[in-house]
Amino acid sequence: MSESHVNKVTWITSIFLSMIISVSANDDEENFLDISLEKILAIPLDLNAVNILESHIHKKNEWMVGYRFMHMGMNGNLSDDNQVSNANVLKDYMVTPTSMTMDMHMASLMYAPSDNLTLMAMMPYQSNSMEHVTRMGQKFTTRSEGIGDLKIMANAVTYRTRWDEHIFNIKGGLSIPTGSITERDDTPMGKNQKLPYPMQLGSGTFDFIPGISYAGLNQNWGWGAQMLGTIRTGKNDQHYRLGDKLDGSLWLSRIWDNWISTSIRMNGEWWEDIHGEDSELNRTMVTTANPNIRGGKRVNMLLAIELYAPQGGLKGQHLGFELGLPVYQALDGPQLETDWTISAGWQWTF
Amino acid sequence: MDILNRKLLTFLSTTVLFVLLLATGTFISIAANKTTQKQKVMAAAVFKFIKFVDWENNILQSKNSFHMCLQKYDASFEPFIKRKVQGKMIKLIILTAEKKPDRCDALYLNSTHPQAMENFNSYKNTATLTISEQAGFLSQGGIIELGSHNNRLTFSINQLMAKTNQLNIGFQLLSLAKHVI
Repeated sequence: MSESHVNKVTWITSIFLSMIISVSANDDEENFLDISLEKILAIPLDLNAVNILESHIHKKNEWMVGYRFMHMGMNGNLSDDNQVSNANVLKDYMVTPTSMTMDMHMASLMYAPSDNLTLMAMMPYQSNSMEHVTRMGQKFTTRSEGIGDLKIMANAVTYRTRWDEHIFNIKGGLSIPTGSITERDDTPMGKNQKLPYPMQLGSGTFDFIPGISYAGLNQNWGWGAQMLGTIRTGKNDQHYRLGDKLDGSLWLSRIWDNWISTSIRMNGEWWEDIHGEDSELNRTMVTTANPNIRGGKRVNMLLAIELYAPQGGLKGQHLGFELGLPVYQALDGPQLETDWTISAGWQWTF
Repeated sequence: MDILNRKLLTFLSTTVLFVLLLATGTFISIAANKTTQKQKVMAAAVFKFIKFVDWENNILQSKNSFHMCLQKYDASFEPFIKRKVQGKMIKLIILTAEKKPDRCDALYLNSTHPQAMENFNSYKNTATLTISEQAGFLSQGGIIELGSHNNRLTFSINQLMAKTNQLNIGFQLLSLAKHVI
């Protein structure tokens, strides 16, 4: 099945499910008056956001399975926060990337052994496609596809108020190098060439993921903040280590009804250059093979809509859609700049 | 220049999309009388409370309706008016400084307004099932105090106060309460 076909199926399924959820949510049954008190006491008072998986807290013995599709588009090169033309990049390199798309399918599983501890595992499957142009004007595309790195995390509540109006968490996780770092494809330089760093699917190292978060809630509004770090360890078997990363989010959501909410989120990312070097890559050939121009910082604004089925046949199903745009980015470049991201996620809590 | 135009266009279209999302949400919210999941859960729990409590000495028998009093209007209680409890149709009464009925069979203090405590004191020693989210409500003489744990509703019961007010709390409530004093 082709990638575009999979994407179409994902979006059509999401839209179809959202329509069903909207209809089922308008049912009289959503008043909960005819269900038992035990069941009423099991209904969440607020909803976990689809788009910030690491912030989730679940009730004791509760499970959640989820799927999220994300598409990211990159076009043009930046050096610091200045646009760099292909011609300028090609003064220093034989080849320059001109655009890239990344599609990610993320499966997640969560379980809460206690009210104050939620365990989660996330496994991505991604496909990357990068367009290039050479100094001679030849255009070509490289592709890579496969599973990424498996992430396992624990999210522990350190403080909560009586009505969970304010919740503080600490979290810790490990990224296990299940993604390939030896992806290859044909290029004008030869057949089956090693692809540069951004086209690889994993880090190749065990990475620690510490973090803290805060979530606030009142009757109609939710807000929160989260900081997550990624600390890489050692070097992978290709003799390099990706740069450490810091990721922070601030969000505000409006809860319109018990089946719909919208949110705005500011997300900041900061990541370092690569340490070491893959000896199969020639850093003077293409910008993406130069480990010293891989770092950067970016601030994204993301808008989301979330739908939830509190009752009926789809009870516990949750859908979220999010559109993201960078409002600021400064890259150790020349490096491809992100233009936009879009994602759709589904969750089922039981 | 092209890049600048493209970014401006993207920014403008995103802003329009966000405004549309907010407008849609507002419309839906107004159409749905603006009730959240939390409000609906609370209202449903209050409905179960009044079903699982008996008013002693057939206090309600001679009455035409069951008086469900609220400190402030809450749309999630609207479905109550189509329902019966103790064989009587439920009448929703919103308390104001000017409007206080002779009796409230159940009183839900869904606001922290200073007037709430005054209303509570007015019905505290009558055959009224008093319910509030306020911490320490049971020690002030209330009968059911709502709370939450891990994003779920919990409740505690002051059974002594209930007996004083001639109310019998059903075993269904006692068995599910977090604390009974």
